[in-house]
Amino acid sequence: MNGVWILAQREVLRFFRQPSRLLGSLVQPLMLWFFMGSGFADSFISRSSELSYGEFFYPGIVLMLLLFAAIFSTITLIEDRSVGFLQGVLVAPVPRLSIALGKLVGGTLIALSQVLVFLLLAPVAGIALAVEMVLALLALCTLIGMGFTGLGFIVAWKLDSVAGYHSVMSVVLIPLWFLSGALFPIEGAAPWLEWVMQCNHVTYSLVILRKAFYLAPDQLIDDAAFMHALLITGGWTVLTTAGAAWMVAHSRNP
Amino acid sequence: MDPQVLISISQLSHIYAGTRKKTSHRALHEINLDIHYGETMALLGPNGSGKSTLLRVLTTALVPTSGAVRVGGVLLGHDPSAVRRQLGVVFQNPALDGKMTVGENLRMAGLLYGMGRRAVSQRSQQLLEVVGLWERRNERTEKLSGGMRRRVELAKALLPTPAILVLDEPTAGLDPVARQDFWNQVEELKADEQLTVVVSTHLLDEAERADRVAILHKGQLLVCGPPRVLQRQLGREILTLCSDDAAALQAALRSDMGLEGQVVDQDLRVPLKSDISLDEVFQRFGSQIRSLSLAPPSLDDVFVRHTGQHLEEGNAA
Repeated sequence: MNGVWILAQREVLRFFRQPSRLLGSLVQPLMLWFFMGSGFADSFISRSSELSYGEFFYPGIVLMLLLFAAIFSTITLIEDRSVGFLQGVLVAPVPRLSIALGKLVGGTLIALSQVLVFLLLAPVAGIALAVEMVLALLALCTLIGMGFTGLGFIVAWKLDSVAGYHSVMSVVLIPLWFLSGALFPIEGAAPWLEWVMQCNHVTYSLVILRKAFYLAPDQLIDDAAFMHALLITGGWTVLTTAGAAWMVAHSRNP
Repeated sequence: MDPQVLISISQLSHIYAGTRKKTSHRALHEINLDIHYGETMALLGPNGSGKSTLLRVLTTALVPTSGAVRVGGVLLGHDPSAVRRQLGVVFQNPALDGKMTVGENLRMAGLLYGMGRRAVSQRSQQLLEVVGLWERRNERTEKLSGGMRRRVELAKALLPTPAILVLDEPTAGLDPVARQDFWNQVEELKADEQLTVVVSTHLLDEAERADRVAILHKGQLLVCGPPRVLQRQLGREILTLCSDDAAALQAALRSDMGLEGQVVDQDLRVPLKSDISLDEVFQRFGSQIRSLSLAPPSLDDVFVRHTGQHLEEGNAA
């Protein structure tokens, strides 16, 4: 586990040493939230609740933070390979599993630091958060972040160009977010789209986030819909983490 | 196994599998090579000769198609971690993180090799002082010159006190002064740390520094031995004759003087085992000779002898 922590620390250190990356990762979701929240303020009507669009969109933005942090932290895998850093790690006497987990944990820690900053804005969205709710949210974000980073890792491990990675991300990861109910409620969508959204595992990540913004941890445990969504999200994270570890362990020519 | 042998490579072959765009490619073919404790072994060959593939196998970054490699008696496939602990590697591409300082890069490498924090700190200072970069330990490596980055890599590779230092084209892209500095430091550290050094290069002067050189071409090991021995095997000197019809001159020299030459790039190259009279050569063949030169055999001559082409041509190809 020592190797995992060392490599994760490096990811975090690199992130905080690149001001443009740091700035972009916070300003972009803020802008999106502000402009879309203001733009849809009067035209958004939810069938199931009285939420303003700003409040409705807020958990979706947190989900986007996790997604983008995962994308950008796994892009560094391609950079590490092209500049030669990865080969230096591959010849170190650390288990290959540590290399995958180091990236996943590092990427997730970066995502959590951004989420933490964003959670400070919860009152602006009209959401009051108790300390135990913040802790529950961070635990859930860790689970979701690991799942996204695992998926990003699997894609990045097979690719040798950053441009190629961007293309794959724009047709795979970003649509997963679009169709999760982050931008529009699932119940108002066309039937075929609703079906697609129900099949999207990210929909369930958003379900657990939305619920965790309004329910205390003990209420969450009693909520059947939450537990169902948690099970799917947890299963997805285990699957992608195992997939990433398998790819590194079975790679003949990294 | 010979107790002098630290690395034993036998019948090693590797084929890179083909893809839809690329056909499969044989990078190594039945290589047999022993590397002894404390020696510097240079792998010399043009680009694509297989030397980098051989080093990737040795450093466990690549699983070969067939053959066996033992490092310190440990079979490579059985316990890669045990093999990695014996190796310090400086790759052709820099393996430093530019956003981290010199000290941080070394600390991360040391911790990955399971060293304690205090040991990492002491050893980093010792090595950075040898490579002359202790004063710059708090600078990010992206700010350093190419030569300095190579020296940081050298310190990083030697941090966990490996028995073997592996250098893959370590001076690629460096100017002659930085190259000389780098090699001086490698030699100093080799003596201090009693290292065995394996270096791949396509540069003749770097190979000539080694105790032994293994010359590779198209994935095959052509010849291996101490550079001077390989050079002397060719003869005392190489007579190079430039002629409009080198093939005719070759035949004439063979029949008239019993000298065996080799035509390479319009030149006739004649290894001389004993003294000959240049006057006699001029008297007999002066009309066919445009110019001539006489020089002691180099490793390039050894390469030419086995492949019929110069090392530089192989690099350009």
